[in-house]
Amino acid sequence: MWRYVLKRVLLAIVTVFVVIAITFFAMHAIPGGPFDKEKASDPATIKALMERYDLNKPLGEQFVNYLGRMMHLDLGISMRNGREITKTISKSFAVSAKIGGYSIILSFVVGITLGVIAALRRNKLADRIIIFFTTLFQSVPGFVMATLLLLVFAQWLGWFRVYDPINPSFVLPVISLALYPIAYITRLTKSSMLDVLADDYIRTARAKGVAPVKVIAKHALRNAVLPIVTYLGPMVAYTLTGSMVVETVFTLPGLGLEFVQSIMNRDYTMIMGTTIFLAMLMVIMTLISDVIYKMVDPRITFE
Amino acid sequence: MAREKDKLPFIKNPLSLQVDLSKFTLASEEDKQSFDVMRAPSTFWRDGFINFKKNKMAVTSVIVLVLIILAIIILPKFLPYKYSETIRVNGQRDRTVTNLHPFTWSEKEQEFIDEGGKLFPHVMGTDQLGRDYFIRVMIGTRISLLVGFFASIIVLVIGLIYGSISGFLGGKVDLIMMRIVDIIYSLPDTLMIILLSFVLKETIGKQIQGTILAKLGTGMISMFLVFGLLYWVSMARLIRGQILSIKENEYVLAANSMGASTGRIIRKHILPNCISVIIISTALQIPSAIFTESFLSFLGLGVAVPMPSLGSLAADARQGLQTYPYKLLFPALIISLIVLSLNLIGDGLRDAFDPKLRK
Repeated sequence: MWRYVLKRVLLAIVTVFVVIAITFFAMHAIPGGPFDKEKASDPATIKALMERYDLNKPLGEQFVNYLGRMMHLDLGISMRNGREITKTISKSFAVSAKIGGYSIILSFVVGITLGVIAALRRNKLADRIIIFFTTLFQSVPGFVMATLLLLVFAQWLGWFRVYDPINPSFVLPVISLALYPIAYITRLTKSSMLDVLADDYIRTARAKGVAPVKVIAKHALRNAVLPIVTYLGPMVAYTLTGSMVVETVFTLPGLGLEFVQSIMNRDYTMIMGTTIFLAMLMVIMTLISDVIYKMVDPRITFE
Repeated sequence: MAREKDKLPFIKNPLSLQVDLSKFTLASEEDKQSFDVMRAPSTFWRDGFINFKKNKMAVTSVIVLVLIILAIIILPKFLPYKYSETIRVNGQRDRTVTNLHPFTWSEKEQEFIDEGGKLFPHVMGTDQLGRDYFIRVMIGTRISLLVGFFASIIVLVIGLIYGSISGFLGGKVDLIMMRIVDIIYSLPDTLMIILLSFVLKETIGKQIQGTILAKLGTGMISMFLVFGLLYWVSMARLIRGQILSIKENEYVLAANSMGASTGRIIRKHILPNCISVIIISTALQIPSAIFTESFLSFLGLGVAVPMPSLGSLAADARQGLQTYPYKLLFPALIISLIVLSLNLIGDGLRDAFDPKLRK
């Protein structure tokens, strides 16, 4: 067990390091400094800027410095607005975490419920309807879905006050972020539930007269839900990238919007900082969900 | 006592090889018929094809996809408009031709028609620069499909080479090659794609200037590069796994002991057994590439203007959405149709060709 955890932690550390290295060297491979397109082409100003952003040293030294500052949770300052990147991230991530958290909870609850219904009513009408909609939601790009929801429910029907400056409604962003994971979890639950229902111990439980509800809730569902835990890692990754789309469509001041804008503005330091932060989050969540899976399912051996 | 024993039927020693002829009768015609070959021997491909044809959803998807492909090949040749050019009426520029609704005319076009001229209707209206939207959607579909197709070919080729080397050689080489795969696999792919597309878009522009590649545009080339750099790992893992498990089979051992060459074993035993898995995952790679392209277009990192893709058309349509919602709907509908039918075809192929699922 601990060997497995250690191995995974090591892989995670290597991955994070590779991400930082790729991000750093890729961003520095862009020809010309980030200030080339600025109007203030006064050599003295440029020199001052270069010194301020540590750009006049050799690349290797810059990388080591960057790593060193990262250890102190310092990602530098934005090249566009001069604000500290860690502060921007922590402020905007609060919004993203709220939407993302709600959407993850919503996807698990709805996805598992629908999956169980589809498995129990296999090949009946309910199953067909559920599978139809999950297939549909999996074939529409996220931003199209979000835009359509915005158009129909906020602008045409006016049910949600999306653009309210004081208290904007989070319902539509959360739903549009959750639709794809719901579809995925539904299908995962259905197939895993069908596998479990065919097992011998379910037949035994039924044969000895356990109430049908109890068979499903206690014997089947408990085992069927286990593989879904592994989806937590990829789902966090999906939610974080999805938040870029959703926050841009609904103009919410989250980390996703911040990242998209930094790409549009070519804010090099901000792109680097956000990429590294998001990547670390994704790697850590994948690590946690894999380790939890191994811990809760005693049937899995540790190599 | 002795007489009683004689009356009992003849009991043979169970280990005796002597045959009791009284237990056998001549075969009747009916019995002989049951040994007739009822069905012509079928090949792997024929079997799969027959199974595939039974799957109505998959067959419908093939038809839809073929229709779309035919439309994007044939229609643009007959349309009098170009995807990159503003519409001209009778050779003159027309300022009122922008943002037309489907099947409507601009003022100048109306005049031209009233005078007896003939024009092709704007089936999907025009865009904000006065270009025919229908032709843009057609060309966009073409680009999106090409991106998906080539991206999955790139993934297939790299994954196949890397995976089979790793699977065949085994040992330390395999171990090192798979650790590299592990690391690339655990990278957050979407984030890395955004980052690399951004960087490549900024860097390769100058280097490809003047070559054929410049025509493709930086956006598309950086996408192919990114797919070639990151997405092959799951394909490599899959192929390595397949080869490892097939290598262990008894028929490979048998072929080996009968003196078959390595080449023959690869051609006759290993390839036919993993080809279905390879085809299925390549087919399922196309929709994911189309999705990635549309996501990058949304971020402004997709194909370069004026070239349209379904993703960039849908992303551009977000401006003025209230007034022209159909501009989002047309490309979105086609993306969904393509992705849906490709997914259904992939599922159908898996059911039809995966021998492990066959009844």
